[in-house]
Formats: sequence, C-alpha cells, structure tokens
Amino acid sequence: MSLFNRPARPQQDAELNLIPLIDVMSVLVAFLLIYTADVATVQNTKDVEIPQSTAETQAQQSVVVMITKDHVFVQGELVADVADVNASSEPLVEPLRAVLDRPMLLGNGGEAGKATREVTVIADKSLPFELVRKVMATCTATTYGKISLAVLQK
Amino acid sequence: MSANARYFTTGGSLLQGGFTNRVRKPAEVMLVPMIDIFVVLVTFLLMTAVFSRITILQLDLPSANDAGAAAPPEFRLEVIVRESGFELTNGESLIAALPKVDGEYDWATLTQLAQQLKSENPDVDDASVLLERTVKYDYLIQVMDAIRSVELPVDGGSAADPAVATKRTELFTNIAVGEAP
Repeated sequence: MSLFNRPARPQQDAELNLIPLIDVMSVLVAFLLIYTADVATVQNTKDVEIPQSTAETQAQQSVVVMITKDHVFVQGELVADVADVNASSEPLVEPLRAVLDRPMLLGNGGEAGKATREVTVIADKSLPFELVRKVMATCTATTYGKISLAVLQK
Repeated sequence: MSANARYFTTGGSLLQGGFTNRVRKPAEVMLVPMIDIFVVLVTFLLMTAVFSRITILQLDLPSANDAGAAAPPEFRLEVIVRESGFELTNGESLIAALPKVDGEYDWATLTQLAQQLKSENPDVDDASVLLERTVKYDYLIQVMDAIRSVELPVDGGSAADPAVATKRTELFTNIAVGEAP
C-alpha cells in the first residue's frame, strides 16, 4: 500500500490555530452577556406558564406580582397562598394589600409617583379568572394606576 | 521545542553578537487557560439565556383622575366570556352570541365580528372583556388578542395561506377587564 510505504514526513510541531477560536468565543460571550442583560427586567418565571400573545410592547421596570399555581409573590417575596386566596370570600387579597401599601416598594417615586405607579402581573395561564381579578382589584385599590399583564411573544 | 528555540537564536544575526548565549524562548501568550475560561463562560451564559421574549399587555383601567371627564362614547364593545361561549354586546343589547364549537371557543368568528364592528365604528378604540369567574386566565389573553388586532393579507390573498404577506391592523386597542354580569 502506497499509503503506508511513504517515507515518514519530517516531524512538525502540531499546533492549533488558537487565535480565531478565541475571537469567536469572545464574540459569543459579548453577545450572550448583552442578550441576558436585556431580558433581566422580569425575573425568574420558572413555575409559571405565561400565556402567549401577539403583544409587542416591551416590559418595563415595575413592581412585579407573580401568581404561580400555588403561591403569590411580590418582587420575589412570598405573600400569600393561592388556596387561601381562593378560599376567602373577601373581594381583596389582604396580605397582598399590606405588602403593596409599603411606601418604598420600588425604591423610587414616593408620593409624587403614586398615581402612575405600575404593576406587572405574571400569572399562570391555567388559573381561574376569579383569582387574577382579585389580585388586580387589590392592585388598583392600593394606588397602582397601571396594570400590565406579562405575556410571551409568539 | 528547546531545540527549535536554540535554532532560531543561533540562526539569525544574533550569531555575531556572542554575548547572548542563553536560550531565548519565543514570546507566547498563555492561551489555553484563557480558552478554558471562555468555554465555561459560554456554556454558563447559554444555559441561563432565555430565548423567549416577555412582552406586556397594558390594561385600560378607569383611574380616579379621569373618571367622568370624558363623555361616554356612543358605542363600546363588550365581549362576555362564559363557559358556554362568547356573547358580544354594545353595553346594552346583545349583538351576537357565539357558542363553543366542538368544545372550543369560536375565535375566527370573534375576530371577524370585531373587524366588522370596527369598520362600522372606526373611531372607537375602547372595548371590555368580561369573564365568568371560572374561565381560565389564558382565555382572557386570547380574547384580548382576538379583538386587539387582526392579520390581514396585503393584496387580497387568502388569509389562510402563510405565503401571502400580511399586515397587522389594529382593532380595539384600549381593553378593560371585568367580571361577567
């Protein structure tokens, strides 16, 4: 076989071309860093299946009320259990109201920004409307003038 | 490697200057640890990256400031979502009732009716979605989508054909949410 009978080539230093590899990787790292910073406004949505929609408005920085299948969170803080909220016959969610009434929840605004304070509701899509309505009613009862519903872009 | 290096130093013009006898290594950046770090960074960022974009639907809520300021419009679309289907009213009288078809809500007819009502009242942007207590939150979003905007084919093609270019047309963009009577 001619392939095996060839005279041995002079041994060369086998070396990888590392510079282009690093170039590609730094571009990747930069891209991913920028991309993750963009999405960070709405935090962890692990246990929540958000409904899909054709909405195109970008999410803004605001107070986030998250309703999972079992719990209600405000800014990541556990506020109430869904079972308790469903069981109560009151029109508002009292523990949620207590948390939302805190003056410096978002850290800015104060009295001046109260009327235009925003709240973003992230709710699981399998929840009954009754529960979401209670939460939204509580938000409007505590001077949050604007309510947005978080959805996944289709 | 060291044999190579020696070759370089002795092969060049340095041969004349006999004072450099020690072996000069070629200057080299330590690339391998750097690549290690990059690989770890890339995998970490890829894992945490969220490849779905979160957007928001803004609700049109009657706030305390402008209550009573604007005169009530002559027409306001109300979509009542019941377990059994949709009901469209103009606030007072029933326009149409769309019962479920095969256990599914009749989305196509809803959008069609919304489109028709929008062409009859081009200045009206307000609508209300009223849901029964037990209806899933998902349907609220879907109804809002259905009456908010519609994809229309640009030049008269069939809407079902995905190849035809479509243009999004706004219908009722200010949507309030409430409980069904």
